[in-house]
Amino acid sequence: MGDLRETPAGWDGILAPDEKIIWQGVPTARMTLRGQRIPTMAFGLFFSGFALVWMVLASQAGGSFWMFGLLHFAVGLGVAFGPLIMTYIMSGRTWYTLTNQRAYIATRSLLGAKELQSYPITPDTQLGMTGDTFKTVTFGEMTKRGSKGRSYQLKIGFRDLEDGDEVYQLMRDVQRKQT
Amino acid sequence: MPQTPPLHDGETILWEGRPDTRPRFGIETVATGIFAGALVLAALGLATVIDRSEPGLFWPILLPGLILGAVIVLAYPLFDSAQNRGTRYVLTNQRALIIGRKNPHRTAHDREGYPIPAPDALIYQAGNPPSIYFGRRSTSKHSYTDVGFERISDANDVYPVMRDLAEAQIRNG
Repeated sequence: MGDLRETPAGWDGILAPDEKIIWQGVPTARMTLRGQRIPTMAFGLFFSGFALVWMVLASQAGGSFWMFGLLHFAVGLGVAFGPLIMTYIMSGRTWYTLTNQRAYIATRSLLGAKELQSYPITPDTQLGMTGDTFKTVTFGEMTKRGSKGRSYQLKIGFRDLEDGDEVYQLMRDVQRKQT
Repeated sequence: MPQTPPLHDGETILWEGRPDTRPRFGIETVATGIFAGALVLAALGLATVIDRSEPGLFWPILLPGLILGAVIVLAYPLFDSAQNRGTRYVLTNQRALIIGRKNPHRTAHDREGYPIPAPDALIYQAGNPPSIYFGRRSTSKHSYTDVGFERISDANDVYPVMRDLAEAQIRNG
């Protein structure tokens, strides 16, 4: 197991009395194109492309009327690339902490709200690891509700880690020490 | 001050508290401040133009704009503070209760209390003072608002208690 560290500033009261931090890290900031995003990207690019063609045609009539297409062009780009950019930005605003009892995910939103969620690591916790160069270590699932009211399962974990193998082993050690 | 509803069999109160009652000038104030600033600037422009043709109307036109701008900026923080003064939070070993003005009484959870959540639904939000969120309330067909003990001075003591309750549910199946 990794070194048991003293409670750092800002964690007072959050950690249990016998809880010690054994690893802290951040996700690797990168833009990852996932398969399920491709249809949305395609729609956004089609929307932008349509607005672009409309602006070119409208500009030939003279005047500034073509500028009304800028809004639609920007919305299309936002739909296409917004999620990618948001993932990249949020990876720089996410911090992971593993203790000898729990996994913590801390985030800071674009408006500055700092949030902390914790997930107990118990012998029953289903650990998983995916990825090649950058590993994602999962330790739970949560049900999310989509925009149309449908619910889907989302894996909870430490994403895009450079030292994912080590973190996975540390979690296994946490589980073993509890049995 | 509103009363705590009757407790269930085997239910014990673990913590009682209330939200911070100081007016909070947060991100909402920035939005209303921009709107109020635009309103005051418009009133200033109007007052300047009219004062040139009808001297003496500068302040009668600008003053209502200034007052309205101040009301727009201060209304929400003062309303929120008044709501907080009439609100109490209670945590028991079975549920979390929001009692008083901050409870809209729209859902069964609003009326009966929010059950101890799963660990992944428990959110500690840092702040001065911090908040703890443990539920969601539907505000329209597809949107929700987080529900919790907002702006409590002893959040660092309450959060571990709620986390232990949430984790105990998993251990006990």
